[in-house]
Amino acid sequence: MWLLDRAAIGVEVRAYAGYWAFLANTLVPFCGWLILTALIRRPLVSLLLVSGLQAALYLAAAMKLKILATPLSLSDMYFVTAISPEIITLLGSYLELPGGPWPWLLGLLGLLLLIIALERPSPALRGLRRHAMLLAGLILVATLYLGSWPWPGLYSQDRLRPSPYGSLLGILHGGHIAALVFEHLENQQTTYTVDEAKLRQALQMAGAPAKTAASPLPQPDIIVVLSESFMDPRTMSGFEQVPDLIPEVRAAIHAGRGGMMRVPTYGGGTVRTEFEILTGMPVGAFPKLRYPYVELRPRRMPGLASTLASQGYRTIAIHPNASAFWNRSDTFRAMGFERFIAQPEFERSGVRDGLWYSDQSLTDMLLESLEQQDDTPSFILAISMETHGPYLPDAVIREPEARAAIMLPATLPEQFAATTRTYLYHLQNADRQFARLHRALEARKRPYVLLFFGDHLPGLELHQQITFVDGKPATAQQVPWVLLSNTGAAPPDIHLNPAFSWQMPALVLAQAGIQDPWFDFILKSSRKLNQLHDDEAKFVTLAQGVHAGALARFKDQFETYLQ
Amino acid sequence: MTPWPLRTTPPSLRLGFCAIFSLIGACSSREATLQLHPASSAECETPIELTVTWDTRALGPSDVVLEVAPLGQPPIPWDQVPPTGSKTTARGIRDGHTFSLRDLHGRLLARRTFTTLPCPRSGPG
Repeated sequence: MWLLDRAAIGVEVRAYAGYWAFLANTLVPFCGWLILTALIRRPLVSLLLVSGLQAALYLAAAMKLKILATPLSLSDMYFVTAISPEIITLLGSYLELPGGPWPWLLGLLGLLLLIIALERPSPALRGLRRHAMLLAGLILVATLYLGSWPWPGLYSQDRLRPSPYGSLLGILHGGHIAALVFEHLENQQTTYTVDEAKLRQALQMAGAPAKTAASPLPQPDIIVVLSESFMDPRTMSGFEQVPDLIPEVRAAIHAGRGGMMRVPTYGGGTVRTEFEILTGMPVGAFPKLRYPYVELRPRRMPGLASTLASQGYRTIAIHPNASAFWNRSDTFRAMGFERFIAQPEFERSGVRDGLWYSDQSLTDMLLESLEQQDDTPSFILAISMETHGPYLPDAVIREPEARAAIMLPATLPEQFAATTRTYLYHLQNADRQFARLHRALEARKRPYVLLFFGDHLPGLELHQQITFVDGKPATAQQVPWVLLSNTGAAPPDIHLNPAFSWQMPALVLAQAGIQDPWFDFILKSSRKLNQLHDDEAKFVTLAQGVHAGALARFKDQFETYLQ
Repeated sequence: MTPWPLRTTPPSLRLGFCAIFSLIGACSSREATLQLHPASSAECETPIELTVTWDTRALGPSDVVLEVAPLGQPPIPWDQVPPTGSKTTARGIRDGHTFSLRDLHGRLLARRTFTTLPCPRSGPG
């Protein structure tokens, strides 16, 4: 297993091997073996099952590092606890197994049943011995869950030497399982405390936020489109020379209606950007937070949806994938969405393009939802799927000739051509659907505000091998955003440089003429941060104040600091 | 004597297990050598420069490819080199930097990872 652990991060087998690493990475699987063996009385089957799960963990870790350039973390265990046919299909597609993941899974299940049939229950595992094994296993698991003795002593900071900038060093020093246990023990001690002094200082620097107020104008429909993996290909070296693949979004940006923004994730982890866009809270305000919808589970999560619902909006989320994915169904309810249209409703009339439902089907559903409204204004969040990886060149797409016609730079390494072309085909479709939606909103003659943005760069292996025009790595690249409206109101008087995804909802509400203390604080802080580029000390103070404000907002206490 | 948990395991399954572990054990190659000087240093002294030495003459006279990979990143070809020799890096080697030696068909011949030791903590006063 140590061999697989080292292979998953591409280091030598002997690197940091030793008795402690052996113990630290065996203890947790051993607990699983103890419990399972006591339950089924088949030691070998238990060993195979536990080892199989451990091997699957290393495979997942290697794939995640290869595709997303980030190591496995405890939050990824969410996929195990929320296992569903959709999750198996999505993750299985990355393995590129002939015939998909299901026949292989069934084959493995059959093999396991065969081994179970071959191994008889051990007569030695009866009575006291069996109960003692079960009790020992359960005690170890319970103490691990609670983070109590003996675990913190074994998995200490001194042994793992983790870096504050990521878990890779901890994994290198102690192995994946040790690093996961350490992360769990740290999470047990994490509490979110509002730094009141920093927040009050920030409020003073940014200026008092406006009180809640409805728009003096007719309330516009507000449409937010999170376009999966939408990026500007011209940020990659060599792509300046090939025909533009996102002409519609680029034209809007050149017209001064958008720009590029920093997002808190690369290659995946949509929910991190989505959380910032919907709440205005930077994920950086929550120490060690990876997947907000999974790790933060409050009954109420204030944000765009709740603010707009309180102003009389009907609030709808649309996503052509499983509603439970990333715990969206529960989180959207906590955010104040009254309806969530997900995959089952796309099965009625949606069309797939490649592995996922097309952006065209998403736009159809969005426009259909708008048509169903009376005079009540709508807030609609649409999260696309078509451009989601993996970008399998042999997946059936609707216009293979369009994909074949996509030109690539001559300098692009040949082994990446097929996957890159498949990604760009879907990206082109996303750009076209943005234009189609914009035209449809203009034609409706109702006031609207439309925010369209990419959530992160796609998880393309290509990005590890090529350079970017600005010389920065793939993980530091920005994604496009566009804010359009026909309300006649002037765009928010702010030039964000750089822009961050958590600033976007404040821009949306400002464009719609709706005032809310939290989002006004974000707007005023953003304006002030722009002025403080040359004064690092004040910039950091204000940024820390915004983080403190986000924690206060999350606890629904932000407005108490305004009195 | 067979340990008690395996007493009820059929001989066919035991044999299968032994075969898997024997195969894993037989996979390592001892014909190419690759060494780092220093192979390890104190964490607070990094980044450092180090010298890589290799010898693949036992495998034949062909050139080999030396690769380097910072921790968590895909390997980058550093140089195509003769079967024996040494090279010194720039002062940029950190914990987890991994050097690999491959033949011209891409087969992995040897791999070494630079490691670190914890630095002593400075006490108060």
